[in-house]
Amino acid sequence: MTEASLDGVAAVARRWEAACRSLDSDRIIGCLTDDATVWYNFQPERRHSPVEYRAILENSKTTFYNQRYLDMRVHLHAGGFVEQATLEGDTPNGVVQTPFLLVASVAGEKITRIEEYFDTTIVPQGSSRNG
Amino acid sequence: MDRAGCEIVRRYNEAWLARDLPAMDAFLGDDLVLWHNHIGRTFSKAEMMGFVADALDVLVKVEFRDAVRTATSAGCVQQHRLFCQLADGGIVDAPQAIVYIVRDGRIRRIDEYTDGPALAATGIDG
Repeated sequence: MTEASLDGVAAVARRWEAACRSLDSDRIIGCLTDDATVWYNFQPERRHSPVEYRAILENSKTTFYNQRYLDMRVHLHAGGFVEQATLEGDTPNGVVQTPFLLVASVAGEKITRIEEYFDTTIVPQGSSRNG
Repeated sequence: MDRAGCEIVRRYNEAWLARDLPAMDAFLGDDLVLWHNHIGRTFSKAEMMGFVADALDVLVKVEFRDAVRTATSAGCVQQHRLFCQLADGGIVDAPQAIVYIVRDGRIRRIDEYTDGPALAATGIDG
């Protein structure tokens, strides 16, 4: 991978991070290609479309609100990036923190595939990442 | 992207799957930090090697199936299906991803991401 293309991946990663921190679902989905897929480790047989992913994000806001990203670490790789972070949010039962790993594949200026790893024992029901 | 980190990880995991603890140890920095998402705390190298030995007592078979390694700016990420067969007949078969930070030819940090309930069959605390 050339330095120029790695710069391109870095730009996509920065745009993705900003979109996630904004909690604007349209802005988040705007980082994905139309045929992108989103996969979760706890539902390995399923791949979600951007439309389905948007619904998941919107649904999350009803039970896991004021979401914020903590300790975000991004590693670039040839063809995409890896993001480690902890998603913190408020629930009716108090503040919940759930660490996660996201592996993103990038083509051009968009993300073509996302694979996310969570521990479902600490993912609030109905949260953004609960499928 | 430098593939050297992934080669170290490949050889480290080869040693782990071969149950060769001294060979594993040789790939790890003395300052190693291990973290598991389902436990939420870090472990030292000595602690890690302790529960690797415990794990090998109960695991009849351990495999990283369909492993994909990706070189990153800091080391390597491996995604695979963790398959374990336990002495009591229990089975673990779950997606797992591991982020390795590699520096100066040694693995310095290992962050493991697994869905906690998928590991319940092992009874291993670590």
